[in-house]
Amino acid sequence: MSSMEEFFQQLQGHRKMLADRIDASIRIDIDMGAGCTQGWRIRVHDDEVETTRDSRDADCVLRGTKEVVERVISGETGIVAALLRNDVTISGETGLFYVLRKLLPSPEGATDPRSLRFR
Amino acid sequence: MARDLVNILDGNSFVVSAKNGDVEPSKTLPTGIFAFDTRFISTWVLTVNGERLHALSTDDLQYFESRFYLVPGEPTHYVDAKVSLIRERMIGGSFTEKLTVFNHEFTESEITIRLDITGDFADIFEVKSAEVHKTGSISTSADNGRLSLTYKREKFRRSVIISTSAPAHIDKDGLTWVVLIAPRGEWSTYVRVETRVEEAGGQTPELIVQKRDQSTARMMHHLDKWLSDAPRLVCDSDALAGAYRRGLTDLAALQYVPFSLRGQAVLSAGLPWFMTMFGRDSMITSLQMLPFVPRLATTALRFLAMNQGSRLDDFRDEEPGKILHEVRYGESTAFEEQPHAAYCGAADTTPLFIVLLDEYERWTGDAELVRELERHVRLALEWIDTYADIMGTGYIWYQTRNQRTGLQNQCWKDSPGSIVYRDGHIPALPRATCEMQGYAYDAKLRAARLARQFWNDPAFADQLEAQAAELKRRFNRDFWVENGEYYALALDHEGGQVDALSSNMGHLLWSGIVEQDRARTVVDHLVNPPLFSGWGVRTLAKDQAKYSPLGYHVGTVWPFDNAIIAWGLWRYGYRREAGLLARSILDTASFFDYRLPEAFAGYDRELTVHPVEYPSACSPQAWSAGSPMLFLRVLLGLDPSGEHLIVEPEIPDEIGTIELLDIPGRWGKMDAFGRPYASRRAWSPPEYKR
Repeated sequence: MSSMEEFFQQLQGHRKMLADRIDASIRIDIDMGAGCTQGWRIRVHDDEVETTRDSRDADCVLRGTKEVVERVISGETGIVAALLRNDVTISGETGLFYVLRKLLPSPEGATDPRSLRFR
Repeated sequence: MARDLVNILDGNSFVVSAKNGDVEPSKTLPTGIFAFDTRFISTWVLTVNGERLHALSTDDLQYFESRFYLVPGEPTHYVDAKVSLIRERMIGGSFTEKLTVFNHEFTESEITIRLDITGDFADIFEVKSAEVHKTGSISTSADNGRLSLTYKREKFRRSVIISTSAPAHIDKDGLTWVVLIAPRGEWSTYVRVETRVEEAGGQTPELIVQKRDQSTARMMHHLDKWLSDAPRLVCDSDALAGAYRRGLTDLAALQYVPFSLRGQAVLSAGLPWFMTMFGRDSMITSLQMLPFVPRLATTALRFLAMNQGSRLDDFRDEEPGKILHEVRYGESTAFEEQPHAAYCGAADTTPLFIVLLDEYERWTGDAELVRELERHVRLALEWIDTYADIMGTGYIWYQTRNQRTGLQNQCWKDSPGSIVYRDGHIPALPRATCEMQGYAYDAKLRAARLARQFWNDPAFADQLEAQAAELKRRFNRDFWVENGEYYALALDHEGGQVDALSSNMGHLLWSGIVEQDRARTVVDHLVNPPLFSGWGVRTLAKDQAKYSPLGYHVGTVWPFDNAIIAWGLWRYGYRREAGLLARSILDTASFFDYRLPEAFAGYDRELTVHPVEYPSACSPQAWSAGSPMLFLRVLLGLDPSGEHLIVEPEIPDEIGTIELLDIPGRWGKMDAFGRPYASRRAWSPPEYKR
């Protein structure tokens, strides 16, 4: 399973405690190259996160190449920075990118500040 | 800002030029045309018949427009100008300059007007460090009657388009007009500069709310409405009246629309270096403005909640529940050379978020927002008890995990050398400054009120109150410097006291964490030398090793700091001392054209007569602009109590009578009146010990 599928699958059915009470859908359109697009749709509703692999309408759509999206969903690059440098583009209810941001994992190797205590 | 510069601004767009309106590349001064943390134009130089122009006078008309009266050539003891110019500029959406050239001769004259233009697209961080090294490339094109400059780096793209109403010869370095002007005639043109944040294809990203062009009349209309919607102040003191009006105007100027807020504005922190959203500055300013324009707090709270930390990220000093420090939009942020999308290197913003929400509800009665943000507050409280407590001792600590670009100090005094021992040496990290513990204490008590009243969770409220009481007890044990009878500036990593005598202690009064029987001693420190300069409370006392009257956080006086301290003095019943701070800071207003700067020098008042400017202070600065409002609140003793507004004035004679009309709040609109002490009873100021 690709890291992408893994990311979306571990979100699926996850009762993610999102502070923001919201009912919204976000689609991520991944440009796989050779004119091929893969769509993943995330719906956040009643604290439940639902992910499906489809291209139905969503309130907000993000687009990026496979390489960039993989870096975003692994936490390696920040989604806001990626938006600022146009590696990712967004349409629809653009403000919803913050919901997606809160679903993203920590970058690999990120530390808890309390670990500094023992240095 | 240096006084020989002229600036106009609108939200996060601004222009800083010399007195004649020209912009030239400078190593030390932030001159240029800026937007979204980028300097789009770095050269903007006007010549007439090959001669540079000299300013006869400059009018700062409004924050968004200025006018320059110019003649060619260097001034001698008399000016014999055959030609003169008026250069009028405004910013609102785009930047527009109207050039009018007057021919004073009785004969027709051919006159060559030239505008030299370059754009360096420097990121504000490059401007600040005076090192501009662009990785991408700049292309220039002169066609269709426009000059376009575009900066590209990978898919990142910023461009600027310059157009003119009168036909010009356009080359890649600027615009030239060769015009015949009739005897005693005049000629004019408009030059428009459109700064654009673009996607790779040149279109505007949907994310960015590109502000549409506004006419001067429309900008004026917005400003008039903003001013007339605010409570009306009638008072004896010119300084107070001037600082109030100036402050309100500057807060109109500093509003910009970030992406993600659907057209709602937040405040930039200060010109020129901080023309963006800072968590701390926007929350403090919102607190100051609650009795005046409460909706500033609504948007600040919503924006900060949306951007609340959700994961661990060392580069951004982010942790779940943490409230951000700073947001930037420039190239260095986009390419993650700087961590500002969004940077969370502040340890005081998270408790302040809770304090602001509670205070906001007390004023507005907006229970809906309190319910909407319940989980954000719970996460913030969790952050205080977990990630913030680096040493596991029950305090908020900070230590950046971003060694390259993170902030060493993550309290309001965030410059590198601000947290010091009395003898001047700098403690190791992590550090726990005192005022942050006060904020945490206050946050817990305020969250308890919210839990009980709005979240139907009295058990949680009890728990928070017990935690707060325990924190207060511990804090008073660990931070109290016995031999000096004051609170230490901070604790060091070993739990030892960072024993400098500083203004931070004043914030503790505001938070209520000071034991009642210690308040008198603390107050005496604050309103007397070596902390008090006569103009206000210094950031660091004059007898401390690191003190300098020009030390950014180690000696200067900050109006916002004094306003918070005055609030604290009032809270503990020291109304006269609060009045002294209000009066002292307001006394400086007339020296700064009623625009309270970010900070000014810490010299003794007797020594300098005038307050001395801090050389690179930001001005306008949001929380300085908001300080007269907080002083007003303190002087009038304005405090909500249930559905009512309490008014209990204590006003120094020097300030005189104050009337504040139409104070908005849960009561609708109310008026407050206050008369000074003299009309009531005699009082002498606290003894000014040497």
